Amino acid sequence: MNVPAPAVTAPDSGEVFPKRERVHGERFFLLLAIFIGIFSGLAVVCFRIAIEYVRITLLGPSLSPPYPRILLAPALTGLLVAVLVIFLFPKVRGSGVNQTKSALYIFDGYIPFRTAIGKFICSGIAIGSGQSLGPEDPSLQIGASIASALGRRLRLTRERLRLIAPIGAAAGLSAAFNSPISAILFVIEEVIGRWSAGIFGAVVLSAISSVVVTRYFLGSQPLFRIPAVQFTAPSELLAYAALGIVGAFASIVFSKAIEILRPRMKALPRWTQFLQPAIAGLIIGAIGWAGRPEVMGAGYEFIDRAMHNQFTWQVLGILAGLKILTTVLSFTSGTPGGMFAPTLFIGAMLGGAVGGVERLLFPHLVTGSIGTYALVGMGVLFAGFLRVPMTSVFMVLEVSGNYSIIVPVILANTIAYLISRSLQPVGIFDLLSRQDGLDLPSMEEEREERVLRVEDAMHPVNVPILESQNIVEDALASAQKNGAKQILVHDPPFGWSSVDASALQELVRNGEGTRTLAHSLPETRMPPVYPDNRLEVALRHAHHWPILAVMHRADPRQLVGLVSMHDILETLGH
Amino acid sequence: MAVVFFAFTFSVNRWYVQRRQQLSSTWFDKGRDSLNADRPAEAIGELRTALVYSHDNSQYLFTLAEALEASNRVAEARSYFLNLLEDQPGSGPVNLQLARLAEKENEPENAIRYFNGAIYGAWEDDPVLKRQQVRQELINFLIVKDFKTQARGELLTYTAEMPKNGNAQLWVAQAFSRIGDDRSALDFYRVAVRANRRDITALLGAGRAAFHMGRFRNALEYFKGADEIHDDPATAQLIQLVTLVIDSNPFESRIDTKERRQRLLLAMDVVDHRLRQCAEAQNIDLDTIGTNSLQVARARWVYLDSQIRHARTGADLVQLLAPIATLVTTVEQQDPCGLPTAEDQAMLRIYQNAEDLQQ
Repeated sequence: MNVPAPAVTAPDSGEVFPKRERVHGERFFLLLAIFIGIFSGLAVVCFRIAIEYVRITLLGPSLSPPYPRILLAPALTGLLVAVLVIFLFPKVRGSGVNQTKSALYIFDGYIPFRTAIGKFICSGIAIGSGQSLGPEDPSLQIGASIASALGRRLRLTRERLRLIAPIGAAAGLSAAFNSPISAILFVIEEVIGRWSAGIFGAVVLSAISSVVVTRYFLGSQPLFRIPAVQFTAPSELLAYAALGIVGAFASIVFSKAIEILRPRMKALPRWTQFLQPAIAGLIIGAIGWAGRPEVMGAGYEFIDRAMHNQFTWQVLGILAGLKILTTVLSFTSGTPGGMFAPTLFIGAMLGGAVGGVERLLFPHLVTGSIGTYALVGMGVLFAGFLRVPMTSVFMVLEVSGNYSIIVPVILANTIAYLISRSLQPVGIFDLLSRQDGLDLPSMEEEREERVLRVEDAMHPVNVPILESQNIVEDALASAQKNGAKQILVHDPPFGWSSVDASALQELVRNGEGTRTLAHSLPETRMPPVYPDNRLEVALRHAHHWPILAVMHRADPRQLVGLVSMHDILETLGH
Repeated sequence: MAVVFFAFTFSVNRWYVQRRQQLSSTWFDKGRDSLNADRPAEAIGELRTALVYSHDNSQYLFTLAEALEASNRVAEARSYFLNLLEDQPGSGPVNLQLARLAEKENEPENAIRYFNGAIYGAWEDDPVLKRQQVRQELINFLIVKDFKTQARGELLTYTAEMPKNGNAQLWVAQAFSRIGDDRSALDFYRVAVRANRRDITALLGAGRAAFHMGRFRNALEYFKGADEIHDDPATAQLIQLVTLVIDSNPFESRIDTKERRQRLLLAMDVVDHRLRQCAEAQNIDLDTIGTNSLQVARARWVYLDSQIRHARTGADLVQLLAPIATLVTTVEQQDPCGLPTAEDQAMLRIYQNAEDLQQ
């Protein structure tokens, strides 16, 4: 991916409303998040209408598009999309998740507004014409672009501007998915990677406001209707575990196909890039014409049908396989569009197929409906392919509104996630960013990193401990007797402090040896450090305090050890 | 900027909503027409397209489910109906459709549950009539499934709420007949006849019920009444049969000893003829004494025939009525013996009701 030089417009300080920003900074940011949500919601409403309009215009209103439209529409629009992407909107390729992460970690929150326009037009045409991609990831990027544009217009600080893209992303995804909790979790889990009150509040507000806007215009009905789901027999967990295993392998096939094909497609001569989306469209159209139009577009209607037991398990299996093929073709050809909807589609079909086979083989084991298996299957693919285990669980719960299914969902998703991670260590978003030459932080890897804590660096107490009422001469004598350069002083009720032996010597030399230690202590007291604190906490104070007392959380007077800069650096070095 | 964007989205969305409504209603009309024209496969595709533009329209969903059912895609139809039921648990039509599906799938427990759901559910048009019709359907189902006790209970409930017209009375009478409750059937047939004295179905039904109860003279009256209105060979045959039964009935209290003996000997002749027919069909020698049921019946016949002929008083003959009834019933119900004659049918009818008649 060609990365342009970041156009940082926001200064580090000197906002338009500096005083207001100081006093009401947090509130202003939260208010801005609401506006980002409203704008993103409106944009996503228009985006969804545009996709529908293109679909009806190009493929006709029927669910089974007639020949020759079904064959020609995706192919010809593929040509148009290629021209638009190559000449006008080169940054709209791909899903949009990594572009938003790039804005956060590389470009200080900068996403050109042109990207939003390009994503809107190109993804709208591509998805509407039947390319096997979804509208969620583009909506995420559109939301992030809008947020970035608003942030720049309001001249937010660099730190704020950096955070604003994920806030817009949450709004866009939430509006497209009509599921605010999943959108919030996805952005936290995959884009931002950390929880903090400031970001979380803004993300929640933007996601909620965008959903409110979307529901105002498009209604509150979900993208697909969820049948009555049930989980009654614990023995059925075996069947769901099997679904988790199958889903993991399907995720790996899906991911591997993209990993292998994408760089090869990109490596082909430049002129072929004009044809790649068209060829992908032609193949998808041919599959539709051959009798499986279900694989065209986002496919929510067919997820709905799978949920309601409208397909046999054989058909469900075929649809899952074909959707993997068509999505890989569409995505690797450089057609802009998302992978959320295809992932849900594949998951639903695969879940239904596995449930159907299990019901056939073990009729006494499977008591849940095929719809229940399709629903769990969606979560499984989310966990296995997109590698967002938390989002995958909450997504299923949110769309189904049924908590009785939580046990099979957690089990199947965890199995899928663990198998997928062990066989394919790099997740799909990290894989794509590395293929594009970007070294974005991997949230999955960060989650797995070992956190170093104070207890890993601390050593036993090896300096004299005195009370603040002891006199300086005694303290010096104690230090000399123990050969200690520092003395730890307990100064109730203010806590712990330390004093240098050389400073005590100086006091004695100046005739102040009979004064109490309290007079020689620094004004500030030692910050409390506990064994379970991250090492960074101790590092922050280590250059002010040669030794830091590590206290017991239940009894601050009790010391469990000491930590010094030397200890910290040695531990970090290891 | 927000206001302008909102206004723009509002107007675009309004156009979009109208377009969707237009598309959904166009495709729904197509689907309904196809379904009415008995092209359910086409209807399914069209109704599904309608639903793309109107996801949660319960009328569309209901019609799609009906089309699926008409295409024999029962599992899919049931899935749609169950979803509708989840949204509207008290819906009469949805419960009724589910009951019909359960009936088709031979799930009597579910069928009864859904029928009851339909009876006590909500109906948009004419709920009283709809509930009566559903109860009639439930009664039919129970009769077909041979749940006679439950059917009788539902029938009694129905009679309390049914419209007071001849058709309803006639339907109830026929339902009682089907569960074998001839007494109740005859009561309702009578009411139906009273409501319309030229109702052939009611007259024939009343005649049959009376005949089954052994009230042969009443039966004859009803059959003759029917015959006067409509000249039908089948009715004439019934009249002939009832007349034969009346003329051959040894249980009649008003006949003298000689006549009773005559009628008993006639019965013995018919039984003898039938016995020979059966023996021939089953290749059994009646002149040999053996353990075969026909041979045992033949021995019994010889004994009773002699008893009839040697009976001196009317009381002696009356005492023979019960064993003769048992013999006649046993022989006339033998199988295989070939087609029974009118006499065979008459004898069976007379002697089968022996207990009732004696009472």
